[in-house]
Formats: sequence, structure tokens, C-alpha cells
Amino acid sequence: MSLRDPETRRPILQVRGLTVEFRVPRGILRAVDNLDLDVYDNEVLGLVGESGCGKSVLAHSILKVVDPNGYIAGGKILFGDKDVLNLNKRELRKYRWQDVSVIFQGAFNSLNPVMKVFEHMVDTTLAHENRSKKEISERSGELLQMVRLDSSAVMDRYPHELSGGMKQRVVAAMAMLLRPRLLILDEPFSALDMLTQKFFLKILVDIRKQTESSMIFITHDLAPVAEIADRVAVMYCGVVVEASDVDDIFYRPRHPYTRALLSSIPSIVGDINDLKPVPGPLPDPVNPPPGCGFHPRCPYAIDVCTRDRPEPERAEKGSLVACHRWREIN
Amino acid sequence: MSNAPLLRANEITKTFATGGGLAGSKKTITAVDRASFTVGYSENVVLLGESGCGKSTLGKLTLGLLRPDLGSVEFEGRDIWTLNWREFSEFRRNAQIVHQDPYTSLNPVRTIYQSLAPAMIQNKVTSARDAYDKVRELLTLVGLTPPEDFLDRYPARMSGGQMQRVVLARSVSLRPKFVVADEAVSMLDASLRLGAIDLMLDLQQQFKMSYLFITHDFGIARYFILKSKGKIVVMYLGSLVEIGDGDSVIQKPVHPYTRILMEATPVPDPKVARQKPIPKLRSLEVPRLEETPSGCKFHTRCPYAIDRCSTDVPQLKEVGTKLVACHLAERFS
Repeated sequence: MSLRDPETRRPILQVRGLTVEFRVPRGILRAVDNLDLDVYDNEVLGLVGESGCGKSVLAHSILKVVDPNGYIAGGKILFGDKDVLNLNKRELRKYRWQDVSVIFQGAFNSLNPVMKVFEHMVDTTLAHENRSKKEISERSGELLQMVRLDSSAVMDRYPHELSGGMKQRVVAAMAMLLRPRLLILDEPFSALDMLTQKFFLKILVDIRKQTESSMIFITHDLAPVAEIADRVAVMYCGVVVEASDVDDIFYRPRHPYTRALLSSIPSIVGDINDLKPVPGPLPDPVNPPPGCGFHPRCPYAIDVCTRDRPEPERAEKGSLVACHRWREIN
Repeated sequence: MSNAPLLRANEITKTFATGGGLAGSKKTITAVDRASFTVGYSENVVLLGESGCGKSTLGKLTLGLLRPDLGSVEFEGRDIWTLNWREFSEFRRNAQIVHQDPYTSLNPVRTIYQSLAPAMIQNKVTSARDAYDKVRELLTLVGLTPPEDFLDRYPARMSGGQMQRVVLARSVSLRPKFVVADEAVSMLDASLRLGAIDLMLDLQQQFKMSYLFITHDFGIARYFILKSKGKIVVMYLGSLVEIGDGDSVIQKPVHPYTRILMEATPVPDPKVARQKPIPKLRSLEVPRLEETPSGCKFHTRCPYAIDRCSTDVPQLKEVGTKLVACHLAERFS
């Protein structure tokens, strides 16, 4: 998969200086901290990070559906020429599902138990576009086939008649109904068994080939990202610490956190003696460490890391790295 | 003491009734279907299987938390369901569990000291007078240092990784001989999982107990087994399909299910991952537990299935150094 020159590619989604905060009993939790991120046309971006790093909050913010106790404290989200955070209700309704759709974690449990699959399709479509039942039925049939379901059999079924993996594929088909240009998948694999996961991953690759839409694939697990992503953004403490093309992330990681994460994943290949846990606990999001968020766990940390937060710097091939020492340690 | 292994499961079966509500008739689910295996003294056994295959039920059966419908569980040569009250509580002391979710495993209104000490005093692992020191020792051992910082803390003030360390400390606090770790590291974040496994193995060095390590993750299973030696038991829809020395199951899995599970495990290497073909499966759908297939339960998905697989139930039989339940096992070994 060749990457076009990142310098000349046009992003379809630009996140600039985004800060999202939550009011929690202990104080203010800054889940996303002055974050920049681009998603390009026809690319799959893997967004990787551990729990509490802010990856799901970022996804919610892109759709402007942040939880009630949270708020967007600053920054901009641009989708094409749309200023997402300033859209009115009507415009937001168009933006969601038609421009950007999302499959949330555990989405297969979000199907209405008393509605047949086809009724879900009709509901979703009519909420946004005026279409005849015939058109909806044709489009749904096409999409269900794309996710390798027998559309004639599935359309008239209730959710409880489908397995978890089938429901997940129905949700994926629904998300594509209105031909969104960006599909966000938030931990789409949790609660799917391994063989179903593998298959769903292949389906996503197919969907992407056929629709040429972009995807943000959010996960805590680096392994599936290796298979599906073109580019990977690694998040830690509300910040993207490294964003590079997928081969660089896996073969030439620049940020110490990316390196540490890679060497802590047990796989079915490789020498287990090369594996080592990342020392220290995850940071407390209400009281994040000063300076670079990773410094308490970083083997390369020096004085400056404990004081100043590193700004993202541009590396080769359009990569971004936020580390004071990335040049010397590589 | 006889030559009996620490734990022996003899053809144990456990069924559950489901349904019977407004929406239809009662059905039975066979969560564990005539499972037999042994766990030796200080031996590690990894139980590998996907969600819903019955591996947690099997774990609970070995601990006497569930009673098998058929078959028996023997601990040090004696059927645990024939023990008298005193013997059974002695067995309970010897067989401990680490649950999947550290967040719900600790009582939120007890401090760490209050969670650990009473059982140790009750079971005479320590006297009440020395309990404080003993708990301090234990916390130091699991890397919660300085222990004074943690003794009087409530779980709400700890991270998931720290809570899991407390749970691991508790699992060895009564000096058990057998610990079931049911997806003990799955809830932890990627960067913390290896640390937790390393800690479990350190504790084993010290206390010499056996682990039944339950996981769905081939990568985790491989790390655990290569670090510690032991055997792997693979489970599919309630049946054990392959049992063998850990190394050999990992290097040369025989049962088609084990092999496909391994093929399907994603590899964190983009070049390898992109070239990996999708595993050949006859059907993508996991059969419902109420309607497990006849014959070999895997035959509806197995790419190699022949006529016989849909009618005859394959029994575990010796294939090389392993036990494999597949009619075509010889072909694959």
C-alpha cells in the first residue's frame, strides 16, 4: 500500500489544539490535551493507546457527543470546510452519519431488540434522507452482502436471532448506509471471539477498498492495527506522542512509549526474551505528571522531560513525534 | 501420600438450564462436557479457549465452586465432594482463585489490610499480633512499596494494576497449593500485562503452587508457558480438544481448531499481517450453545471435516506426545 506524499495530501479531518475536560469528584480531568491530528482521504488511521489515554473521548469529540459532565475546552475540528464544533443542530444531524459515522464499543448490543434488521436500516436512512423503501432495501442488501451476510435471510430477523459476530456486521453495514466519508470504529472487537475478529478485520479491509472511505480504527491492541492501518497515531495522557505510517511505527518506532508498548506485547511469534513490561503504573489523568506525560516510566528521561512538555516535531515522511530526545535515542 | 496428582478432573460434565421464561421453552447448555485432565504439584496448566467455551465453568468446577453433574474432581487423590466439612474448608484454603476484574474483586469498604489480614488470622497463617508485619511482607513481595502507603488505602484510591497486585497477594496469602487465574491479566492494559504474569511466576517460585491459567489469548498463553514450562489444554464449546506439553502445542498444534486459532491471532508485524491469509473456515458462525453440533463440535466450521465428523464424537487419543480429539489427528501430526 503506497502512501502518497503526505506533504501534498489533503486531510479530510483536521483536529487542532483540541482540549476536552471532565468534571470529576476529584477535580478536573483533562482527557484530551491540546491535541493535533489529521485524517487523510482514503486512509485507515489506527489510533492506539491504553485505557484512560483519551482515545475514545477524542472519537466522541469528533462527533460532538461528549458526555454531559465533559466539555470541549478549546480547539477546532474541521471536516472539509465544516467547523464541526460550531455546527447547529440541523447541520450536526447531517454531519453525523452522512459525513462521519461511528461504530461504538459494544455496538452490537445497541440494536433495538424489537426491530427487525430491515427496520433498523429504514429508520437510520429516513432520519437523514428521503428514500423509498425499495431504494433502502436495495442499498441494505448491497451492504449486507458486502459484510458477507445473506441479506435475504438477515433482513427479516430480529437481533436476538443473530450471533454476536453477525450483529456486529449488521451494525457495520448500517454505519455505511449513508456513504460516510469517515467511519470511526471504537474498539470494534471487544467481546468478539478470535475467529470472528479476524474475519471482521478482513471485511473492514474490503469495505474500505470498495467505498474508498477513510477509517479511524481505535484500539488498545497494536496487533490488528498492523494488519489494517496505513498510518498509526499513538496516544498517551491525552496527547498524540507519535504519528507515523504503519511500517515506521512497527519497524522504526521513534517515541520511547511506542517502543515500550511494542516490546510489551506477547505474540505468537518472536523471542519472549525480547519482551519486557513497561515499568511503572499508568498516569493518573486527574494529576498527570508535569512535562512529558511519559517521563516517570521512560528509560531515557532527563531533567527537561520533567519540566517541559515536548511539542510535536516533524520527522521523515511526515511523521510527528513529541519527545525531547527522539533524535538522539534513535 | 499416594502418587495421585494434585488435581484430577474425571470426565466432569456441567449443564445449565436456560430460558423457560416468557419467550420459549427451557433448554440445557452443556458448559463442560466430559472433561478430564490433571494438574501436577507445582505444575502450570494453561486453559485456552474463546469466550463462551466453558473455560471459566471448568475453573470453578476444579475449585469446588460448582458441583459437576457427572464425574468427579479429586484433590490430592480424594473426591472433593466426599470430604467432610473440616476437610472441605482445608481444600478451600488450598485452592484459590484470581478473578478477571480486579475492580470488582476487592471489597470497596475495606482497606487493603482489612481485605488481607482476617483470612490469614482465621486460617492461622499468622497470629493476630504478627498480622500487620505479615501483610506488609506480602505487599512488598508483590511490588506495592512502600507497603505502609497501601495498607490503609481503600481500593478506590488504587489503579487497576495496583489492585491486581493486591488480588495476587491475596491469592497466595493462605499458602495455597492450587491457584486458578481466570483471565487474570485480560483486564489490565497492554503495558501492564507482562508485569503481572512475571509477578505470578515470581510468586510461584516462592510458594510452589500450581496454576490453572485461563486465557483466550494465544499470545498471552505462549508467553506464560514459554516463561514457565507446563502444559496447554485447548477447549472448544465445552470439550477439551487438545492437551499437550506447552512447547509442543505452540510449535506444532495438531487439532484443526488449535491451528486455526493460532492462525487467526493477529501478529504485530505489518508485512507478515498483510500477507496472512484468512483462515479457511467452512462457517463463520459460532454454533449456539443450546444447539451444539453433533459428532465433533467443530465440524460445522472445520475446513477438513469428513462425513464421519458429523456423526461420531472424537475422543481424546494419544497422537505423538499429545492428546488430541480429532478423527483426522494422525493426518495433521
